Amino acid sequence: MASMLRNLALVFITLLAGHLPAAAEQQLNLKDSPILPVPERLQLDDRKVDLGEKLFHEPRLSGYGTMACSSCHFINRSGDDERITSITNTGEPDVFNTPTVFNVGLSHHISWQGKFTRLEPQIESALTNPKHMAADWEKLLDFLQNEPEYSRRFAKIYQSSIKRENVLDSIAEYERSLITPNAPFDRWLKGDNSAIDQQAKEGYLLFREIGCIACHQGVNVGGNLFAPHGVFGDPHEDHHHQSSKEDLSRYSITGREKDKRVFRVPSLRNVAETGPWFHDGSAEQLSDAVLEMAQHQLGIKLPDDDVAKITHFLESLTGIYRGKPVGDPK
Amino acid sequence: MNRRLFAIISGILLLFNGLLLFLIESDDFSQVRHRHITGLSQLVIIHESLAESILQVNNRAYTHYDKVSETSRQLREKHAQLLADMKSNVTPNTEPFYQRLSSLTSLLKKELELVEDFKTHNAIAHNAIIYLPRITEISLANIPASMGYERQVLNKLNTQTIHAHVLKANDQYAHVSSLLTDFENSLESINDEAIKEQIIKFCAHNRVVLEASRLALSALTSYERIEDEIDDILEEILSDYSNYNQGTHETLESYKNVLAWFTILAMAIIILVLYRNTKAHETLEKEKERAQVTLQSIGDGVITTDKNGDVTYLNPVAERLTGWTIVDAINRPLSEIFRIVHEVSRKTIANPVERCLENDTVIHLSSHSILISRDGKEVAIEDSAAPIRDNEGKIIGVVLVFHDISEQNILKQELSWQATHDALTGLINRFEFERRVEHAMTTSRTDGRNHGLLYIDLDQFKVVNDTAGHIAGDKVLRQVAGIFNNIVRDTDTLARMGGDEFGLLLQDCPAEKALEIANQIISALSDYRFWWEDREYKVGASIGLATIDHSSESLQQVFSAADLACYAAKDAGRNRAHQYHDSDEHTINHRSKMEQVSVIRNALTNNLFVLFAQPVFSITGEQVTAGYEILIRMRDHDGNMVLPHQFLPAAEHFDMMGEIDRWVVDNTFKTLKEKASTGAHYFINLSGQSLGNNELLHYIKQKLLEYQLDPSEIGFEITETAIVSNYMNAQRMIEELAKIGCHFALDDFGTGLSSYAYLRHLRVDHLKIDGSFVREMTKDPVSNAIVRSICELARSLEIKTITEMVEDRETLQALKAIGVDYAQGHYLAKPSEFT
Repeated sequence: MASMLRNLALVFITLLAGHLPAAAEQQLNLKDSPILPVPERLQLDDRKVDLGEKLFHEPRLSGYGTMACSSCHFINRSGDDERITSITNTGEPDVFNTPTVFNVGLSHHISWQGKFTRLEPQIESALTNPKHMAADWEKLLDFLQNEPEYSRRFAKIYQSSIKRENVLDSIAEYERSLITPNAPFDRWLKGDNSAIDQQAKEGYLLFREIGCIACHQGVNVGGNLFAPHGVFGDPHEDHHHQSSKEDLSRYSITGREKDKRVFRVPSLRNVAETGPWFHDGSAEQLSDAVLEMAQHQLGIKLPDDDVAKITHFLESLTGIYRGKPVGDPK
Repeated sequence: MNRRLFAIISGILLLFNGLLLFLIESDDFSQVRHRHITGLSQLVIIHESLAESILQVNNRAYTHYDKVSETSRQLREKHAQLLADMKSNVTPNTEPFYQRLSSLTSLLKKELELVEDFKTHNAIAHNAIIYLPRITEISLANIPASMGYERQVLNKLNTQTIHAHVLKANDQYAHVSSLLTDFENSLESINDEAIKEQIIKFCAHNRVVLEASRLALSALTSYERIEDEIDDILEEILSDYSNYNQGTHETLESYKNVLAWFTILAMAIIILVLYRNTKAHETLEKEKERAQVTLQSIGDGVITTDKNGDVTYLNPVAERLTGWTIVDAINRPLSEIFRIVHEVSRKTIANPVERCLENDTVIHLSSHSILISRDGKEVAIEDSAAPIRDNEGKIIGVVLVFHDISEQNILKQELSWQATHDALTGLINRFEFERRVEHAMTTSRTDGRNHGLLYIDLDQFKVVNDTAGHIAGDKVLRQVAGIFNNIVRDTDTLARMGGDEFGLLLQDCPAEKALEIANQIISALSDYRFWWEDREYKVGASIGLATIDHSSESLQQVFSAADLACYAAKDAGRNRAHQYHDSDEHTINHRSKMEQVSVIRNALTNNLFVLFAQPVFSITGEQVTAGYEILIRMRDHDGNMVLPHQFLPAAEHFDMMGEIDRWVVDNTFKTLKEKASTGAHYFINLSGQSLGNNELLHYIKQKLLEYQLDPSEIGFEITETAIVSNYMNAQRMIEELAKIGCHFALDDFGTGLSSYAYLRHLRVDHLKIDGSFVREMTKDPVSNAIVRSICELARSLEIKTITEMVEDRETLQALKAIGVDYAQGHYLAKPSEFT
């Protein structure tokens, strides 16, 4: 049975490989591509970006003066905290795996539950969450106003006293600047045939042909729609997801029955660098995540070869930030 | 008298000022309303483009939701912004209005939720269906040939599921679902657990497809209903506003009336007072004084003399122009004070006062006089001399009036400045720019010099204009012009071409340098921010570059090249520069769209369209020609045939499809009249625009009579989308023409929205399966299954199927195997001229 499947998959791959040169050599028409490359540069206000960067790394914004946005989003690594789940300001593990802040500006739904459609409210929520930065607006604004460096820069940019919306605006502008263009796969999309190797190309074709692409699409390869985690069977029943006491799905914020088990489809940009995977960080290896997705989202038992190919393709989605690939510790 | 008049005029002006002030104030008032109406209209547009973007992702295998998501976000934010603005500003203060606002809010929220639901289920349906044919294959591979019944059912279910998904018909879901249940129930008799498990898995996969497809459809249907409701509400809110405007407009009118009466009353009082004043106090002395005051203040030079020609008076202008003060000049002969020579010959011109005294008439001087002042300065003047008479008519002196025409020259120059410049930015205007480009082209031809022409179109400028208003927009244009001016070299010419378009002529500039300058402009703009009412705006630029060299043909060609390159830059994502190349595929395409309108017009008037016919073969039995599809081509000025996809989009865009359809009908019929009947059907394509009104129906009927054709030879192809958008008319047209024997084919079948529902109510006798499925069917199992399921559906409704784009033998074989009735395509026969 398994060998039969593998044989079929083999036939299938050979068939696809037949199309490959055509698909790769003719410049891919980006208009029809379900995945779009990350723009190389955005029009942003550099002054705000600079100020936002400073604020992003400023622990004094937090209630206890110990935590900054960058405490959970390591910009010089992969934009997340590399933990299974984020930790609170008392060092306790929280419930969600920290999503990367890279390319977050390109996502249409933010957070695992898709609580936000704009960056500013998400930033505010993280800032004021008592479990995380626990900031108090009054104190925060006081601090900024009394810090000459900040008050000068805010005055220059916003021509007003420091206001809540301006703090959020500049952090948001900085986060928008955190795009990672020129991933090998993007370069391939744009016509550089040698940017990814044959295995990654085959991985991409599989990604298309078995259906992953239906959810992971667009410029962020996800991040723009919701899907139930587990279309074919419940991953909680036959997998290693910890059954948390809390319901973590979108149901917990909408209360709609049909939102049970529903999560935002995450972006797969830089996915190879943002493990552990899933909303609860339950997948230790990227290949585990691919396998589980195929099983429960597509109803496919994916042979190891195919998992390897798709995983390899996913690695080609790692983009460049400030001259170096995301997650590169150098 | 002058003073009195002055007083009256100023009185009137005063009052009108008050009136104007009032109007201006009320303008502020209406500006808010205008902003709300603009905002609402934008909401309508975004709302519409959301619907469009949803249709674009529906039923497409490989797609992305970025556009849907982005439009959803815009809708949400525009609505929030508008609502906030309405809360803090005047709105129609009626209960129904507020009710509508609040139901708009809740409907939009619901709508966006449905969009999310649709996205989710559409994605699930797609990722499930992509793998379905393979699951089927795998299952079949696991079921031994001896289990014929199971294998057959499995195959059928696979097709039926895809069928249900493509056609999106609710009864179909239920039908397939019950088939699945039956099949599952029949499994008990199977002993082999592995096979059983495989079949259960297969059924589960089918159920996921059906369920997701059903949920996607239900979200889509609810979405469409809510979308309609929102459209209605938006329309109502807009009409609230227009009524509201009318209301305040009426109040305004009555205020105006009151003010007008008040003005008239005030005027009457002023006139009365002045009249009494003149009657009581007017004296000669005062009159004289008044005259001098007048003379003092006028802009012309005035010199008066006595009857001997000696100066009695000079006004300040005359003092300035002659260089003489009144004290020095008085009692001197005029010829001494007022020395004039001819502009060119420098000959002294006879003193006008003398001539006036001699001839006793008004003397006008030629405009070529130069007045030489006391200190030798020369001024071009124009003058006239008139006699002054006493009460008995005897000449007592002469008044000489002259003015500085060098100043007028300046005015003339100013006028010409206005004719060549753009008043807003101070840059030269399009007219002058064209003149200078033409000149540059001449230097290219004669001296072989190369120049660059940049066509700069601002991006996002509309946003400023729409949201911050025109005053802000004008400011941006001025500032941007300033930025450009800093970048261009002294030898370059910058012009505003109109709107938010600028032109830049780069003298002696190779293409590389020109691109460099273009990029400098773009990067300078990227640093530019415009602040208006606490909001920040950015504008960018798309720049098209055309080179001017000895090979440049005409002004028009150079300009349109730059323009096209600019469009290409815009299409490539804005904020960039693009150089025009002759071979540029992109720009050529764009040209076809822009210039096609006149070309199409020309083709219509000069009969440059040509009909082609592509045979349609019957493929069920012996392969014979069963009919033809009539196609249109256009002959361009070189006599080449232009394919329809190159001009029909433009025709559609500019509402010319009706005329083209009539042309095709008329000419097809004309040709058919001369042909002997073969029993073949001739299919003519009708556009959605033609279906929008009844004109075409009458036209076709009338032409059928005129050419005395057998209606049963004639068929029409209408696309699903055209029918959906003009349903009532289309249905009527099909009914009426089918009644007299014409045939109808539903074109591009399978790409539309809810085909099945429409199909049952339309009297079409052919279904034409969309070529995209046919072309892919030998490679893509999903396409294959779609073609198969459409055929089955057609058969059940006793409708014949036609397939297009049959391009190879394999496809034809596959179609024959499926049982398609007719086929056309390059593999079978190419279109040839229809004569």
